Amino acid sequence: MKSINLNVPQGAVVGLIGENGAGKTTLIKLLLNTVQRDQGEISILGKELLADEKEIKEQIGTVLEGSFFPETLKIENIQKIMRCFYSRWDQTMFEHYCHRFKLPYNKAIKNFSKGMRMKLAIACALSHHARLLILDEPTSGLDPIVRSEILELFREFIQDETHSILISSHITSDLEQFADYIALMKDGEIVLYESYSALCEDYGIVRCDENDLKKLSASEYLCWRRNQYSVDVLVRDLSAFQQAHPELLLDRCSLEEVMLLIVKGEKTA
Amino acid sequence: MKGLLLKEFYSLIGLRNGLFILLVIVAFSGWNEMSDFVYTYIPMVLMMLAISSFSYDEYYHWDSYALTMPLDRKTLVQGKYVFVLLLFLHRF
Repeated sequence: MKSINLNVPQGAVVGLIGENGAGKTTLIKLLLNTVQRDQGEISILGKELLADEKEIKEQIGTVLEGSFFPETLKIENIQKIMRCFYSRWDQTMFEHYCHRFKLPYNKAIKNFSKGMRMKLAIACALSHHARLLILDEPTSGLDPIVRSEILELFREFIQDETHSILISSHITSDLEQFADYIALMKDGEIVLYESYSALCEDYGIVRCDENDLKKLSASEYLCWRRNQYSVDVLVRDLSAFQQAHPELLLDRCSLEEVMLLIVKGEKTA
Repeated sequence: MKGLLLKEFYSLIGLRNGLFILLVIVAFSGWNEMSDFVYTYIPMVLMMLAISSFSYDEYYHWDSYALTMPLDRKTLVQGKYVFVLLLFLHRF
């Protein structure tokens, strides 16, 4: 990991994207103090992480990938355990979620389907009045129907303006639906941090050929990538670029295209 | 701490039933000269339970999840020690 500056504003959803191995999970582990940091400061919800760890964690709900209760436990066991850990555990809210997802109280978790397990993990994260949700790939491997149900839950959570979400995912279509800011990680550092609306409206892709590319100056674009027949160039300011080069073809871009271009693209002609 | 102990207790409860049946079989099969075997058997079983609890934690990555809760590492470790101690206090 290189040095990172990340700010998650209150009331915002920040999507963390990047290829596998870019450092997203490591960043989350650093935030949760599962991994020790070499230098720098981490403050969450106004408190310094190392000093007030317990108070901070009372207010954080997490869903991690591949890490949960031992699967021999049942929901009735889990709720008794969670009640002991969190001082603000809300039993009624938890029962309400389990009922809504139709989760059986008496089956061991190992008999649950993947979607049910994820819904249970989310129910646990949401039932202690957390203000911050830290989610590591909560929708990977789930079918589209379950995914939309889960995203609906997160939307309800973010209705309260004191709540924030940091979600790490490589399913960019999910993030496109409700992220406010996007942070793109590559090789252990954050290479792009923009509001999602800026990415939609101001960023664009120029589709041209290599001769046109050579005519552009390096300050006008971010990166480029060769295609089968043409070259894609990522531009930060669509309208300014269009005025400067009216003959070139410009398009708006999706989150996935931005990610591909920045991670796989080259900086200079 | 109580939550940790509850979690250990609940995760091993499934194993406990099978082991209890085995104990009953062993106790009744050797009631002539091997009845003392039970006194060795029970601590062995409890040791197995203690070791299984560690491998369960390892397999399900429980430690990563536990650290996201308002616990510190010290309490987590203490909980494990207390649990193993409780297993061996069965004599009293």
